[in-house]
Amino acid sequence: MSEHLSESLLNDWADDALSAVQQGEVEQHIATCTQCSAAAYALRSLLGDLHALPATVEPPSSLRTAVRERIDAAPSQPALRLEAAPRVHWSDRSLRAMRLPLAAAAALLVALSATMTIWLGGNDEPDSAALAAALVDAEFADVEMRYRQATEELETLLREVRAALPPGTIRLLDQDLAVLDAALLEARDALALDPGNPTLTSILLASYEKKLDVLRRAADAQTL
Amino acid sequence: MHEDGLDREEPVGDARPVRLIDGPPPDAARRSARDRARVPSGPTAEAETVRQAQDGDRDAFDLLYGRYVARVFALCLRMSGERVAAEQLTQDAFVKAWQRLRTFRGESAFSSWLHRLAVNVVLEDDRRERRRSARVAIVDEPEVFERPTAGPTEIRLDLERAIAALPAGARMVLVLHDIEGYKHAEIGAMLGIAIGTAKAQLHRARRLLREMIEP
Repeated sequence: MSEHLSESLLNDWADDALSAVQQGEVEQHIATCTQCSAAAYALRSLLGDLHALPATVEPPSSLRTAVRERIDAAPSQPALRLEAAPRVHWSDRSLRAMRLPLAAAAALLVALSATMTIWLGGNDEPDSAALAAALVDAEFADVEMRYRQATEELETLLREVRAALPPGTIRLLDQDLAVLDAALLEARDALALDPGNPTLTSILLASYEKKLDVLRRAADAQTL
Repeated sequence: MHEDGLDREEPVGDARPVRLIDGPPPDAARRSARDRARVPSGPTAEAETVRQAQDGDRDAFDLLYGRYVARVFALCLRMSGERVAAEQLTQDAFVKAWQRLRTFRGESAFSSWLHRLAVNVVLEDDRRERRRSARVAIVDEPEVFERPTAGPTEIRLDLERAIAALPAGARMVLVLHDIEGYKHAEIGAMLGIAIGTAKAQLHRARRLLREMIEP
């Protein structure tokens, strides 16, 4: 390494983002090159200063009152939490109840498309987008609740008939469900961090749909 | 991610939610420190406070506000580079947190959820502002960030002022990576840019900072 280190390489070195071999090569160069040594020292010094910045900054005391006033003026949180949702009774082990979330999801996806059209269309009326997003958000909570109820009912059903399924089917079912549950968890996490995101909402609903499909087919295999 | 300074505080005082908004405001800094000390600080106790807030308990939410507002305000201040904007963004973040609290399922730490929500509030505001002013600050062309907003006479700024003087896109990447500890992949996803672009913006932000603060 005879030429001076590039800015990118120097930054990767400072971030410990290089392989051990590359890290060694860079350090060897720094030890012999005055210019790169100075740049490396300055960069590490800057990063040290940045990392040392305080994690907190006190806001003005008036902020608390302002937040409280806005919260008091805002509509109350919906009292319904997903965990507290009333359960759907799984009568006669029919799978017809699956149509409910599917129909609701279809309606929601139409609403999502409308919202995305507003966003992607660069509409200069943020209130319209906010309104559409709020509507979608409310519908989403309802649709997700139905999906959760439907999957829980099917899971309960499958637990009851699990012993009658062939071992190979059980193994495949468990593998598929583990993958789908991980995908659901990831999508829900992402959505919790970016509530109302239409793309994430679609991904979450698609994951629910896949899980329902797997459960439905497993239930069909046993009940037919 | 760096350690949250708030998490290092020792639990002190009554664990029950206490209404803290009413009454004459004492010294702001002292009160904030006291508020944080009153918040149940163990994970189980905080989960209970969050659950109460999810059930609509404004006093419980007020405790969470007291504990985390200084952290959220620091984030908003550094990402926006403007104190007035940071105050508004902090308000927005907590109001949104209140409205979205039912979506928090406890699968991550509440502080992480709140922090990410605040980042999104800042980014959404930045996008709205850019649409309004018809200018583009965060794009897939890192050359845009070559220009520092501080002039040559404005060297020797302290670090905070230098960060605030960075172009918006570069400032956000720098704050998210070097101060808040997000990884390039996370930053790329948040800003809607490629990982390589996020890295390029970070390197330029650091270079601009050095130019501003070095003699």
